Amino acid sequence: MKYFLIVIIFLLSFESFANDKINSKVIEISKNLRCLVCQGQSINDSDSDFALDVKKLVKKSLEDGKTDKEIYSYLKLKYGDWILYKTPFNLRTIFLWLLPIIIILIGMKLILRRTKFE
Amino acid sequence: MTNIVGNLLIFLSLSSSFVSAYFYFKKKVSFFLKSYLLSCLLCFSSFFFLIYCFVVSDFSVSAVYQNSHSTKPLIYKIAGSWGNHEGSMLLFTCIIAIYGFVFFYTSKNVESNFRNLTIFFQNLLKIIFLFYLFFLSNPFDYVFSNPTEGLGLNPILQDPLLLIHPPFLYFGYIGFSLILSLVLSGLIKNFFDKEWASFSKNWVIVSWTFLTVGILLGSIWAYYELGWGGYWFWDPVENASLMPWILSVALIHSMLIMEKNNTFKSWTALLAIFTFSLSLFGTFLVRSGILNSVHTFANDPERGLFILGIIIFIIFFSLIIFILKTNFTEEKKNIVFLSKENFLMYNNLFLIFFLLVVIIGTVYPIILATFSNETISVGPFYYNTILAPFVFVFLFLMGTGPMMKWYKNEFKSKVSLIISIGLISLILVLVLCYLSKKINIIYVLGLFFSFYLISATIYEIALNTKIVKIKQNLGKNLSHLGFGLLIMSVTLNSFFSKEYNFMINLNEKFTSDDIEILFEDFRITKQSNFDQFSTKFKISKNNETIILRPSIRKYNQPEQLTSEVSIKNTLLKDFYLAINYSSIGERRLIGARYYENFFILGIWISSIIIIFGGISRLIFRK
Amino acid sequence: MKKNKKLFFLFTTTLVVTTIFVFVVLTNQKHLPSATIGTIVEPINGYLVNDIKKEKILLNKEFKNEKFLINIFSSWCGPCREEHKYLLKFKNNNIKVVGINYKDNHKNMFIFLKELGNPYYAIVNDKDGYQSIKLGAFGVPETFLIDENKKIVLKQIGPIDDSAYFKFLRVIKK
Repeated sequence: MKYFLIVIIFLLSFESFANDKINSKVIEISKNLRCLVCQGQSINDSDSDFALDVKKLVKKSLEDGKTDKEIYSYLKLKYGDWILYKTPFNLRTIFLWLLPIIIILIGMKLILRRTKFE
Repeated sequence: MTNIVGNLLIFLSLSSSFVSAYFYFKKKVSFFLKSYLLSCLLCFSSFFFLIYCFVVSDFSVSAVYQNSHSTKPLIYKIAGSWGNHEGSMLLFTCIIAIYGFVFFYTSKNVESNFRNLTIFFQNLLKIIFLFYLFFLSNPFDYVFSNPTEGLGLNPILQDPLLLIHPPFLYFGYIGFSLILSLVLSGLIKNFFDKEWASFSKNWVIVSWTFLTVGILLGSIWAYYELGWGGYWFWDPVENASLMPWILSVALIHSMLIMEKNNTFKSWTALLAIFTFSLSLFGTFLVRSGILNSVHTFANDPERGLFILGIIIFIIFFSLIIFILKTNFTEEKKNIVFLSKENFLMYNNLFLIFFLLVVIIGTVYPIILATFSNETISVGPFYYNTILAPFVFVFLFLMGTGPMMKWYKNEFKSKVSLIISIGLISLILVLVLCYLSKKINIIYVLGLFFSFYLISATIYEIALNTKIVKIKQNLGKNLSHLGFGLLIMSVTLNSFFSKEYNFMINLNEKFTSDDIEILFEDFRITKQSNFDQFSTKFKISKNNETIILRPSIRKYNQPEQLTSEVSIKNTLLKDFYLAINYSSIGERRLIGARYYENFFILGIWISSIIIIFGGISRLIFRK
Repeated sequence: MKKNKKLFFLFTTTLVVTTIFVFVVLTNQKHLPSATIGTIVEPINGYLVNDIKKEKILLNKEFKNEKFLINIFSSWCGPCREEHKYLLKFKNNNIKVVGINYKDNHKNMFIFLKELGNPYYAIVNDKDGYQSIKLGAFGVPETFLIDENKKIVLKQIGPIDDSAYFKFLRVIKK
C-alpha cells in the first residue's frame, strides 16, 4: 500500500517525451539493441536502469543530429557487437549467414543428381 | 511419509520396467507386456500422487515446497506440479508411458514381433528417464527443515494458458519417441515398407498436431502475458520447439513418398531419428543454463550434461541400427523431374533449410562465445532476412505440388492453371496495395505468394466433389490453406502494426500522429495473493474512443511485479496497452507501451485451421 | 559407402561432437564482455573534492603518469555500501579514486559520504547515466582501473570484494 502511494507521489513530478518522429526512431533503434543486463530483452522492451540510460542516450544523440549508424557504432565501441541485435555481416558471422545457403545448394545438387528429366 | 510413497512409486515403476525388459529377452511375451503395462500404471500413479501433494500443500516434498504456496488458487496448485523442472520431467516420463500404453491398445492388428519390439524400445526410453528422474531430478526429495509454507509459484506462471501449454508441448515432443521406437523396431524386424509408413504416419500426425497446439498456446500466452506486443521472438526456447516441428513436417511428407512408392526409406528413418533427437535437444537447451532466455528453467550444468549424454547415446544407438539395417536397393531409382515425388523432395529440402537456419541461429552465438570470447546477438533481423525469400519460393512449391501427378511429369498441362492462379494472386495483391496505400517489395512478395498458395488450395478443395475425396484431402487442404493464411497474416501484421513508447502522468495526454492517449484514472485493490494498481486510459483516434485498463500487480510470494496488459480485439486490429513501473535513479514512474497490432486474429485463426487439418487427417484416415 | 566405413564415420563424428558439446557446457560462464578494456578512457568532467568552489575541470589532466580508479556509485545503491571500505583502503594506499555519482541527488550523496567516509579524489555528476555508458558500464557499482597511458586495464562489475581488491592492488603495484 505504502509502495503505491510513493508511486503516486512521484507521478506528480515528471517530464513527458514530446517529439513524435524522434520517438519512433528511438523505438526503432532501441529494438535493435540488446539489454545487456536482462535475459534476452531488447533495450526497447526493458525497464532496467541500463536500458533507460541507453534509451535516453539514443534520444539525446538523435536530437543532437547523430545518424543511426553513428549511434550504433558508438554503442558497439563501448559494449561490443553483442549489443546489436542486427546481426552484422562480418568475418565473425560469415558462417552464420552462409552455412544455410551452402547446405541448401548441396542439397539441391544431390536432388538434381537423382532427377530424370523427361 | 509422502516422500517415501512418491519415491516408492517411481522406484517400482523403474523396477517393473526392468522386469519387463528382462521378460522380453526371455521371450516371455505375456509377462513382458503385463509388466510393461504395470510399469506404466505405476508411472501414472506417481504423477497423480505429485499432483495430490501439491493440492494438499505438503511442503515436505521438495517440488511442492519450492514451487507452491498455500494461498495459491487450486487450479494453479495443480499446474504447479508441472510448472517446475522436476515435476515437468515426471510428466515427461509419464507421457512416454502414455504413448506406449495407448500404442499397445491401438495396435492389436499389427504384426506381433514388430509390435513387441516397439513396446520394448518405448520401455527402454522410459527406463532411461525414470533413472534420470529418480537419481538426478526427483520431485519427491525430502525437505529436512519441515517448512510450513512454500516458496511460491512464479506469478507469471499463474495463467490459464500456461496451465495447458507444457502438457501439449510434451505430448508433441514425446510422440516422436514412439516414432523412433517404430522406426528401430521396423528396421530390425524388416517390417519397414509402405504398410509401416501408412501405420506410423498417423502417429507422426498425432504428435505434430499436439506440438502445433503447444506452440500456438505459447505464442498466445506470450502475446497476452509478456506485454511486449509480439507473438514470436525467436527466443531460443521458442526455437527449440520449432525445430522438431519443422522436421516432423518433413517427416510426414517423406512418409507420403514411402507410403506410395516404397522409396525414401533410409531418408524417412533418418528424419524420424532426428526429429526425436531434436525434441530432446530442445529439452537440453532449456535446462542446461547455456542459453540466455526468458524461459530457462534449471541452470545446472550437471543436469545438462546428463541429458546431453542421453541424447548422444540415443542418437548413436539409433544410427548404428540405421547403418546396419538399411540397405534398400529400390532406393537407387531416379525421380522424374516435376513429378509429385520431385516436389515432395524439394519440400523436404526447403524444410531442412529452415531447420538449419533455426539451429544455426540458436547455437552459433553459444559456439562463438565459447571459442572466441566474443558475443553476438542473433535476433529477428537474422531470421527474417534469411528466411523470407526462401519462404516465398516454398509457398509456391506448396501450392503447385498438389497439382502434380505421381511418377510422371505433367507440368506442361498445368502451366495455364498455374499462370491463372498467379494472375488472380497478382490482381488481389495490386488491389490490396491500392487500398492500403502501401508498396514494398517484401510486402508485395509475401502477399503474392500467400495468395498463390491460398488460391491453389481453394482450387484443390473445389476439385473434390465426392464426399469420400473431400474427407481424404481435408487434412492436407486445411493445413496448406492455414499455412497460406498464416504467412499472409504475418506479412500484414509486420507492415501495418504500430508502436508507441512513452512515460505518462495522471491526467496527462500523449499525442502522436492522429492518436491521443489520456491517462484518466487509477485504482488500488487487494486480492488473495497480490495487490493491484489498475489504471484507466482513454485512447482517441479519428473520433473513435476506446478504453483500456492495464495494471501492475505486486505479488507477495515471491515478491514480484508483473504488468497485466489490456487488449481490445477487433477483426482487423488489436489495441494493446501495457504499463510498467520503471525507475530513473530514485524516481519511480509509469511507463507505457501502446501497440496497434494488425490482424493478430488472422494469425491465431490460421494456426487453428492448420491444427484442424491435422485433426481431420486423423479422423478421416483410411 | 560400405557399412564399415559408415560405422567408423559415426564413431568419430560422435566423439568429436560430444567433446565439443561437453567443452561448451563446461566452459560456459555467463560473463559480460567488456569492450572498453584496452581502450583509452574518454575525457571526464568533474570537480576535485578539495576544491571549495567545486569548479568543473577536465579530470584527465589531473593524473600525470599514475594509475587511478574510477568507481561508479550512488547513495541509493545497497551493494555500494558493502564495497565502500575497500575504496577507503585504496585512498589510504594513496591511490586516487574518481567517483562517478550515478543518477543521484546531490544532497543524498553528501549524506552518504559523510556517513561512510569520502574515499574520492574527484567527483563526477552523472545525472543521466551518460558518463557510465562512456566507460562501457552496465550499472552500479562498477569500478575501473586506468593506467598511466589512460587505458582502461581492469574492470570489476558489482561490489568490490576481497579477491577483487587484491587483484586491483596487484595490478597497481606492477
